[in-house]
Amino acid sequence: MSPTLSGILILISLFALLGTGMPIAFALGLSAVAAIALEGGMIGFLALPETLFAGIGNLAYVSIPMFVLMGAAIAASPAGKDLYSALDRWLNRVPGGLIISNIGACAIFSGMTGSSPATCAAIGKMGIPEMMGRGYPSSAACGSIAAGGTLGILIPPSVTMIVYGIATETSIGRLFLAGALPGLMLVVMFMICALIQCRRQGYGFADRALRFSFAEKLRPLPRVLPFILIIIGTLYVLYGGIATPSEAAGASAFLTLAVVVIVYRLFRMRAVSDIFATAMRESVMIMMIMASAELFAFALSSLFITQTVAAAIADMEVNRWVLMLIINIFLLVAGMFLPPVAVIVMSAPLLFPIVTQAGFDPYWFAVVLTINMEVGLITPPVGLNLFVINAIAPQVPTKDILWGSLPYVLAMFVGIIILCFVPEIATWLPDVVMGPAL
Amino acid sequence: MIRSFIAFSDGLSRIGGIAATLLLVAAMVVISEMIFLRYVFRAPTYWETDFVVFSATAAIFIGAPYVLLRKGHVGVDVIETLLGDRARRRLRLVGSVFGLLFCAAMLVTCAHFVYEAYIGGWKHPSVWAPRLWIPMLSMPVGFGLLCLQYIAEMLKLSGAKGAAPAVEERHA
Repeated sequence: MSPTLSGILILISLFALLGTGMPIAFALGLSAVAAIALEGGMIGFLALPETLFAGIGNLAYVSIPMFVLMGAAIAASPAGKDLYSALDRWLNRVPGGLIISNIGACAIFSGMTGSSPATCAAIGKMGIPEMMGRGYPSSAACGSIAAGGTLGILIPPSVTMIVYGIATETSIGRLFLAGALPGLMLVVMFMICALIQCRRQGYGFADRALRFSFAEKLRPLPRVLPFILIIIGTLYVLYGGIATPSEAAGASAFLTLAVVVIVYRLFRMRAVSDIFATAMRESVMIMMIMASAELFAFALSSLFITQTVAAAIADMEVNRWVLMLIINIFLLVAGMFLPPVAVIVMSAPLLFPIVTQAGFDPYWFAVVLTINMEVGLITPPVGLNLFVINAIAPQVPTKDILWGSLPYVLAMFVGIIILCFVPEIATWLPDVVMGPAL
Repeated sequence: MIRSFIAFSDGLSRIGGIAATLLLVAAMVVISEMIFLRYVFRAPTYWETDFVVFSATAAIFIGAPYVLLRKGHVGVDVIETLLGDRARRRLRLVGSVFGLLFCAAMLVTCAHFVYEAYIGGWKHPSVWAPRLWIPMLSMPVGFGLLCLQYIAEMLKLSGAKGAAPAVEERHA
């Protein structure tokens, strides 16, 4: 069978399997096992466990459960509430200050937890009723939280970036740095979006009458500071050459748990075991997808599909920006149906050679890909953040949440366009800190 | 009989979940100890890296059946949401059959692999050199438990006599 035909058959069977609603991990695994067993016979079939064990048995993978554990610990604590009230007290004099503090709180919290749904739930539970209570329309309130929550997969430390790093064998430390400035750019763009919304519709000014004393402004800070110090500490350990990403993640998870237990007096065994159980479920889900993706990538390359597709695209000689546009549309559509981790592990073996061959920087591409995945989190039919907002604010119709999120989706598209014209936003910081990429 | 099988399988998956959680906690503690030893006491470490990698790997496979029990493995439910109750149940059954097929195939090939490692006395090429069949055993154990859990889930879905209805839990 020709590589092209095998590739088409594998993809059709994969989509058919995914359509049954079965776990993505097992759908990926089954299509890989079937392809290898049909092409390679018994020898291919018996080689699968070695590929699986050798693929996932490396230290880089350990960073995923460790960062997930760190995020679960922060999400289980009232840190989100403290962060939210701290920002509100400092920013309430700005027009639309509350909505801006919400986006800021989402950015910091999602950076710390790396989880979009956890951010929407933690900040949204307080932010949405507060905003609606102070006269903000429900669509603006829900949209800002849904969009703010997506920032976590771009702002370091991000599990999505680790998955990209492992799937494409690129430096995780470099990827974190590449996501930092674009993350900040999106935060600012989201805030501008919120400000424009506020000015155009004339709301968000009533809360300026609220005044907080300096003491009131300082009060929530000591409870938030340890977490921010841990994040800064993690990044210092990572870039100071002290530890690998996995080691830094493990130590940070340990420290974060200690801080959560001490600062928030979480001495009940039940509360701590719940954090561990949540982290285990989330990590196993992500890592099972990655384990199956090892088999999938092995199937694609042993049937010469990866190589054939990359060669065919190179022969087509299309303009590299047209190619990037097509890839972006593909990622956008895939991101609407699949979670970011699945899109990355499924598309990396095929897209990565094409993108690098066309002369694009792999770290810049990681940022563009991640922003596409962010869009998928707040667009139907499978926008995870929309479901979370729906659950915490059931009185707001889904249509309103969607309308509220739309300006932020547009902001993300503008962000991608800016990154295409000024790729240095993603590549400058890694080059300065770690030297030019090899 | 069916009820006991489901309870037995759910129980085994829960034990797997606890074991996976303990393995991840152990990995976290050992990583922290490793950094402490290396950077504070400048002492060499030799077994820690292998231990951390193998316990995290084992946690994936041993914890997977529990995650299946809790409906935590994320899937694409777009088609499901468009269907009526009966059709949705049937589609889930079809998905479960394919899931079981994958887990059964992996159980066979992984069991063969671990047997080879055991007979051949394979060791990890590191200073510590642990016997490889020990961490590898997590693969057939995990896939075996996944097969059992899939059968239990299918019994719950088919509404077999004595089976409690499948528990719904949206993944978030």
